[in-house]
Amino acid sequence: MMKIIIVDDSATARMIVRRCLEIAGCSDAEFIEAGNGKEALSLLKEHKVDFVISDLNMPVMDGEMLLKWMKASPKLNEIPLVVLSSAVNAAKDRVLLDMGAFAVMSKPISPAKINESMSALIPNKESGYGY
Amino acid sequence: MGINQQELKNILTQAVSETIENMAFMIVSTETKNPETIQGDEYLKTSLLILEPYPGELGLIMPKKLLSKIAVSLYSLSEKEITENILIDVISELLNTITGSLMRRILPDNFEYKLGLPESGDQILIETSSELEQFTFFIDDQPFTIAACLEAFYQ
Repeated sequence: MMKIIIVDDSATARMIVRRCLEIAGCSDAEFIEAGNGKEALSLLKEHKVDFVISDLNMPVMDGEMLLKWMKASPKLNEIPLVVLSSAVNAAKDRVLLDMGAFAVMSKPISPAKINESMSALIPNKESGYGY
Repeated sequence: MGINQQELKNILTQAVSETIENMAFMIVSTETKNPETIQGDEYLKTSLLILEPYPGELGLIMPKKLLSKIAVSLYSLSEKEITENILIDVISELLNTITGSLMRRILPDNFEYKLGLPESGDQILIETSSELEQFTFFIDDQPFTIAACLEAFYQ
């Protein structure tokens, strides 16, 4: 079973991301939720996850800092981190991808956007390829 | 770069429609024949600062009744289970997403932008400018308003 951490300070945003991931092919996944980057790092110590999907603008520790921490950690730097934020455009995409983000998506999210940007991370039911 | 009020209205309409349709599966219109009358204390308000590349602020003022309808659809809960905190979270995320969508439409691709965190409460809006513009939209005859201070983007 896949395990995914969703990081956003908005419970509404976390719920929307979860729904979209379920529709996009992660219906059997276990979802773990964090309200900021620091909470996510704490959860990453306890759980082996397939990927992290994180907002950028959050109190305590933002998504960019979470990405830096994960990339600097030998235990976490192989875990894909997908950025999902209202504060991204092409210029910011490049910065985040250069920092090691797996993909960058702008809000509002949709199952189609997830399939377009994250197909390598999500089981493909039709082909049987994936986790 | 530089926009005028009509362009802002068009771009804002696109940003609001994209956000509401994707998040709540509801259709937004800019006019209606039978607008509902909503009392002042039946609204929730939230605001969000635009920090870079230019200063600005957006506010969203939405009837609790409409927010509740959106929250019921989003959370798959009954209306009785929807709390004030859920409504505040929903209106904050709506404004956050609308603002990002607006910025991506206004700014050239090579301009990064930074947003603050949404703030809710009665005193919000909008201390940053004398140039406050308001735009009204409707979902199922219920009005909601976006207030915008974006004069720096007009230059």
